[in-house]
Amino acid sequence: MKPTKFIAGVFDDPVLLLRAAKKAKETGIKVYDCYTPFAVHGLDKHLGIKRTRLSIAAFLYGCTGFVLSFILQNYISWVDWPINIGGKPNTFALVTFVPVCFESTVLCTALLTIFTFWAKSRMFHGVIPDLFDNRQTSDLFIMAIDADSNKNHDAIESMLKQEGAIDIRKKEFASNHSLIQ
Amino acid sequence: MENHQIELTQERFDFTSKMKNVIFMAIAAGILFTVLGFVTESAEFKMKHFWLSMLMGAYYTFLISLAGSVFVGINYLANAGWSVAFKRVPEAMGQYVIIGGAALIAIFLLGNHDIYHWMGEEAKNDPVLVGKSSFLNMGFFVASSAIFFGLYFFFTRKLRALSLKEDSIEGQDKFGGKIFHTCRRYSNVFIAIFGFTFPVVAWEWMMSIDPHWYSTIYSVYNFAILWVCGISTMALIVLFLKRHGYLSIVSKEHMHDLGKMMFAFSIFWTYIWLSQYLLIWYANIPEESIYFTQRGVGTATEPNNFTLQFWLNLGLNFLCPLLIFMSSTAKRKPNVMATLGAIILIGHWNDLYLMVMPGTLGENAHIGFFEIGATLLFFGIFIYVTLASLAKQNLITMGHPYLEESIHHEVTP
Repeated sequence: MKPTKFIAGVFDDPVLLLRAAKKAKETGIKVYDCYTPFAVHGLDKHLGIKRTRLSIAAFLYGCTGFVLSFILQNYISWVDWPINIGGKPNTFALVTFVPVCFESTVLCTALLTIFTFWAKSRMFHGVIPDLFDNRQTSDLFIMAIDADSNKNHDAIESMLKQEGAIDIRKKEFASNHSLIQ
Repeated sequence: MENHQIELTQERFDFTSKMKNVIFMAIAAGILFTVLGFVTESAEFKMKHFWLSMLMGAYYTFLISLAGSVFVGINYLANAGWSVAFKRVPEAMGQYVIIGGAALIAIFLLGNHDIYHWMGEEAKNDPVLVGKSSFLNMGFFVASSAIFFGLYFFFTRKLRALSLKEDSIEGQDKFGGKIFHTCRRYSNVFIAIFGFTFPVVAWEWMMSIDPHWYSTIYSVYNFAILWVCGISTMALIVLFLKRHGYLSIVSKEHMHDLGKMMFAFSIFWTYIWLSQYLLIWYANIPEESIYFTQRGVGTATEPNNFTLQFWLNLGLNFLCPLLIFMSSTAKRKPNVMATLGAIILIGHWNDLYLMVMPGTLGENAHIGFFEIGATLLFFGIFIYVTLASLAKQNLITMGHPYLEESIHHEVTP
């Protein structure tokens, strides 16, 4: 069951957010995610976020692009109509396939990776982009804690307050919300 | 980030007699192999094969050693701090420059006609070589090489001496960075001189082996070999030192950056290789395409005796680094890095072989005792000089203003 109810700590300083994330890890509070206007270095370590597997997907997409364009050129200039330019040996024309293979590899990798990224982060049509606070894209730092699996709400709130949260909000989202993955 | 001063201690590399014995054994094996080569080779190509092998060994170690000096210079030039933790290693590598350079000049003086076709009498009847004789002649060759190698060595020594002086400063001037700025000024001059003279070194020592042929990207190609082999050797030496318990301030982050450089410059080498190949392939001018005809293409229907090595070149120097080192986790594993470093060094040895042998020995070339002997001999001397100069002083550049920055170097958050 995906979480829909959250307790959100609102911070106005990335350093405070980092400290709070560290504190939450120490006290055993499971943080669902943090929402920040820019990348806060070290946050992923405290939240225990695993390395993305997007790079593996990107590698496979690249291989696909390479193989497809190689087959295409191979068919065109060897199989269907062997091209003879100045009597040069065909084996060594392999190297001349490189520019097209390279471009096709880059194209497939770039486009397919970005599409995968969008799909994975639920950035597509029909998703309701609800935010904890509109300013989380500008100058506020949100720490979202799942209210269902963390039972001791008072402890969470006092921890957030102690760590310098300027506001604590309880929020409930519909199940097709953009946060839910 | 935590602000703490790491306790820096004097760290001395102990060049043990066990290490020395291994190196002496390698040098002895090199000499033995060379003698075996003299016994077993056929008399006709014996001297030619010998001198070419010596040229390969000397030039390869010369490039790697020069890469050390250039690395130090470029890091000063770029105001880079991350590499300071292991700065003594490239510095020590550079100390071999003068020995490698002297060996090269000695090889030229003794074996010139066996290596360079343009040195012979027959060159006087060749209009192309007569036209190039103002550049390709013994006096200019030896004089320019001696000046260039001397300059490289001067700057290597100067940068090292200044760095050692920086370490000994005590008191108020310690973090003034005065010597650091002097080093930067010397590096500016050194890198400019290197940039303009290294192409000439590459033309003279390598491209003039095929004196009728020329390629404008050839010196960049030589630089790519110099740099990627230099970085790989540097990484291997740092790994070796770390394995023996030295250089504890060099963290995985530094190794990761060295790994990135190995990866990136392998791709750079391939890019240059491809640029040279594609232009010659498309232009289809006989005097240019002869270069690749000799190196693997053979005649239109039959491959020649370099075909395997031609493809091996791309396999070892491009595909291996690409596939092994693509992921960032692989770059952080010492064993993977050591393996790839060895692959790159072997791969570029093969690359140099393809630059030297097809234009000279051609059909009669084969990897024999001479090649292995010369490589062992020169690498033995190179490693000995490097480790000996590492052992001479503190392994850590205590007075360098960027030492603290380098210790806290972090590439992944």
